[in-house]
Amino acid sequence: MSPRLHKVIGIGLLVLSLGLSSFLQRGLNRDRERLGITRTTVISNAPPVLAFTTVALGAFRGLIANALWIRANDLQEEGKYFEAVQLADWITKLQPGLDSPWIFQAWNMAYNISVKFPEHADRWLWVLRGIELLRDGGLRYNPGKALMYRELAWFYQHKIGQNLDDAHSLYKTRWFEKMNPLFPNGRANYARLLKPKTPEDQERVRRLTTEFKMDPRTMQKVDETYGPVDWRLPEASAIYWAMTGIENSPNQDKLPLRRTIYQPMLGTLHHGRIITNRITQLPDLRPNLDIIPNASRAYEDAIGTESEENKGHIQRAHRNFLKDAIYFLYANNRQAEAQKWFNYLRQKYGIGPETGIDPNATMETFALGKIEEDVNETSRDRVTQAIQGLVATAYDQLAQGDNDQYQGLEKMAAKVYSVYQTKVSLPSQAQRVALPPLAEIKRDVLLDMLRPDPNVNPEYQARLRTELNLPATFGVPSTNAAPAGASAPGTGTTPATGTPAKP
Amino acid sequence: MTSHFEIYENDAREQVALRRGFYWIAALLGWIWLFAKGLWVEGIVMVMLNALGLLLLYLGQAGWGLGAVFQVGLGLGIGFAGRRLAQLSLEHRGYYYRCTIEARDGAGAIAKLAAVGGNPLPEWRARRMFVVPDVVPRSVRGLAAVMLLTLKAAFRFRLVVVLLVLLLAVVILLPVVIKHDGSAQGFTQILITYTLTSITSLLGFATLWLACGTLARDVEDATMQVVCTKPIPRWQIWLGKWAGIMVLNGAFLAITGTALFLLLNWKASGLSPAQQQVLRNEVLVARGTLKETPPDYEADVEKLYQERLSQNASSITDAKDRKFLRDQILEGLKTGDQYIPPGQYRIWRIRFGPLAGLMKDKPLQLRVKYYSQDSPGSSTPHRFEWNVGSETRKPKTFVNSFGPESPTTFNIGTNLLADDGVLSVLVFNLNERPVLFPPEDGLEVLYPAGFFGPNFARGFVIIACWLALLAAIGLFAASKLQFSVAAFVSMGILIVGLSSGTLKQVVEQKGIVGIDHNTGQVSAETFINRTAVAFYGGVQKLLDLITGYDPVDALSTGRMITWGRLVQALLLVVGVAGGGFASLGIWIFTRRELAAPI
Repeated sequence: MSPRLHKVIGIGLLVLSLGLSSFLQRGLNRDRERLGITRTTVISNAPPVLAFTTVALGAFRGLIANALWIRANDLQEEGKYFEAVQLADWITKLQPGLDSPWIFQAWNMAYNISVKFPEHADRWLWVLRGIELLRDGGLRYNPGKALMYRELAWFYQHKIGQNLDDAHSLYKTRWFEKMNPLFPNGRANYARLLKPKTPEDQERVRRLTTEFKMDPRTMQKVDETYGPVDWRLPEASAIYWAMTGIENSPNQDKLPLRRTIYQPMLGTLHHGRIITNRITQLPDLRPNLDIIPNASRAYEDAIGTESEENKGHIQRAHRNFLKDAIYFLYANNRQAEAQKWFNYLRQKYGIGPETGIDPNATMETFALGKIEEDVNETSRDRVTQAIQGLVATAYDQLAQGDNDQYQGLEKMAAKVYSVYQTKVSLPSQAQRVALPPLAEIKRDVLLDMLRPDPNVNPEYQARLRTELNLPATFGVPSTNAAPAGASAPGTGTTPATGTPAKP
Repeated sequence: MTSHFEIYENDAREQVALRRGFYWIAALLGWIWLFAKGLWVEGIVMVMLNALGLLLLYLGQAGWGLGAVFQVGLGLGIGFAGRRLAQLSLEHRGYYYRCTIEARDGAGAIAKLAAVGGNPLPEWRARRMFVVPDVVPRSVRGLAAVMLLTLKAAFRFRLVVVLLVLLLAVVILLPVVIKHDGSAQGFTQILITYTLTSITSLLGFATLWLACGTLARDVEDATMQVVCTKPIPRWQIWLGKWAGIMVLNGAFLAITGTALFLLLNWKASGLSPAQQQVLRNEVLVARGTLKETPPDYEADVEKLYQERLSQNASSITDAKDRKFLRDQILEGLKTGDQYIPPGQYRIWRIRFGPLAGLMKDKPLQLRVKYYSQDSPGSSTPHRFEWNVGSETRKPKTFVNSFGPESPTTFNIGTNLLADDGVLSVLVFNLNERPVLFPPEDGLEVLYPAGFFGPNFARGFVIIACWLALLAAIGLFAASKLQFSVAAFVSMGILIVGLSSGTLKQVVEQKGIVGIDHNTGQVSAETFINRTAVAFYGGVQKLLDLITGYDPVDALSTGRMITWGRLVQALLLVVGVAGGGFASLGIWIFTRRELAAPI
């Protein structure tokens, strides 16, 4: 065959192959879009350097990203974490459109690396880095990825909001310190946030949007739908991000986000109100009972929008929420509301093991049964609320002149306290979930009850002081010094749990 | 005693003689001398350089000693460059070069020229720009001359300026762009790591490129053929090039190392006193480590072995069984020392020996690693109570918690040693699960063994050792090959050297073909696998000798680089590995027929 014929055949094959590949290319492009694996589209909001890098590196991006992953992993195994933030930044910037690197790196910093440090202040730095990576970076390049919102909400709700980490108190305090300048009393003034006029308001809005990446309009929706929330608490941020995710994600991805809202709402119920302890001047967490109506309505709305197969999950969550709500209302001496929600629970979900309501149960027997259940489950929040509620009710009965009830409820509070402390006597639990001394709890409740309040009869407070042999100025915050005789009467300190006996 | 004088003449036939050598006046007066000579631009540059250097020293809180060293260094630079600068001054005034004459003084040199009617003799006409100082012994003047020529080539290629700008940019700009965990220690550690890595990488590649280029290109453009006609042995040419590259690297490392050191001190000085203290205790320090002396289990093993043997004499008859029994007993004893059940404790006793007297008021840290029963990769923190100090006095007690499987470091305080120089560390396991502290790195004590400055300098010397090896590799490749091929071969050798992880993996999995991914080992021992293991294992052993000196890791974690380690690095990296490449390279270059077509 002559060389010329070779050339002709070759060119013909070339043209034929190009033509055929154009048909394949269309199908490939469609599949890339459908499966979400295309990376050649320009990422929106990317700074010029990043946009250039993602295109210029081309296929080497994957290799470089792999090398960085390996380095990050090796350094972590050797206990060298100082590069983790930088490596996480590069890894995620090389693959900005994938959500899993962002989520993994953020989780790694907030959960895995943080606990390697004995100092709680160091742990907080890593938790914050994890949150910032997801909030400031991941969501910027993936504004429609529901999983990212879900994970971010989880960091707030679980890592900071719950008490599974030894350093959870510090996390809560640090978050409070960050948010308190923006929301001094926990509530947001939307008139000033949405239309800031003064330099102070403008600075507040600037910090909210640039530092915390929060939109006041979405915050307003959160308060209207699920509030009122205390924005200094991590649960509020968790609900905010879940709600933002619901607004920005496709429909099929919203269910995990809706579920993410209920857990922090439960947390808000348990400890969603901050008061400043007038002795220590540190924030103290109390239940936020005012959100119960909004929260319950939110559960019902969600049940209404959910598919049949998924309704059961949310109904279960709603039931548990109502059970806790009744219990907290009872424990905080709001009997009428407790009764109302008990009736509602019974009417909506009936009696039986699922609701925990016996045919002959009353609201009171139901609530007391919960106390026993919670002590057995060693739930710190619930037991604290129970004791506080019992003590408050006891003081109330004393002020009403019913000394027997006072004595009985005091004994019940002491009994619940001692049973719980015995159950968390192991050193691994003690620091995390042990209660403060009973005298301290009683003092705090008393100070709360004796705080000047236009809605409280001063004669009621005066009577309480008289019954307890307290001076007239007790509980009146005229100075920062602790009032004389500040310790609650009639109690002693409980010994702290110790370490095993040395040989 | 005679010196060489360069004669310059202007159109008016006025002659000036410039002596070659060191200009003391220029060294002492510095930029004043430059202004006096009419070199305004050079004088202004020198003033700015002087001011910048003093400013950096001031910001870095360097003492007056360092300032004096800087001034002396600057003076020396001007002194050595004096002749060139004086020449520039003359050329600005319309003088041009005539010849170079050896004479007792300048007048004598001019008189000699006049004696021959003003027309220089042929041997006077050559102008040697870089002349080896007369102090260099005659036997190695060739080596020194080649070294100076190599430096000249580096300046001509603009390499020096570009590299210096890049290196200083790395030192100055990196702190601005890198991200860190927010703590002062984290920032300092990442700054040291990335800066040193960048400096090493930049200088490493530049060294390889320069080493390949300076020899291979000289051969390609026939310059080397001319040089080889001179009475210089080829080994001096080869070593001269190596020395020139190393002088350049030494200068770069000195400049960037000083800049980085000053930057670190400047950054540290801006922190609060408490943070500075933490930094100086954990990062800007040279810490040594001490571990518990491993116990000698022999006596216990023998005792238990004899007991078991006497109880089971009839069943344990085979030598293999007896060895197995001994091994089992030994492992059991070792495990007993590593394993702490819940609610129990273990005591480590670390002997400081002669170091005990130096530990007064010095902060100590513990570096701890443990394993738990949780699944691998779990990060659930475990709680421990620590009783640290002396067994005869009330110890210091505290409780903390941290995750397993990777080392954690924390402070334990000062003045904790007993009178006999022993530090006792008692650890209570406060968890509901047992934990295991591995014997090799379960618990170490970190103590301040030296200052950061000298440690930093030792680290840079080790980096210089690496660069010396890279220069030898580049010159070895260029001894026979063209520039491009030599560069490729050098890169290949470097990549093999950096692939120790891969080599190790091949040896661990016992081959390269037919890996069973469930077991991580080869499924069959084939000829290819056996050959691969032998080859890779040999290379791995060789590399292990020379790769175990990473100063970057030590400096970033505040660990001591001992003098012994430095000497080891010098001997093995430069002496053995570099010497090996140098010997081969010199041998090849000596036998190479330079005129043969490439």
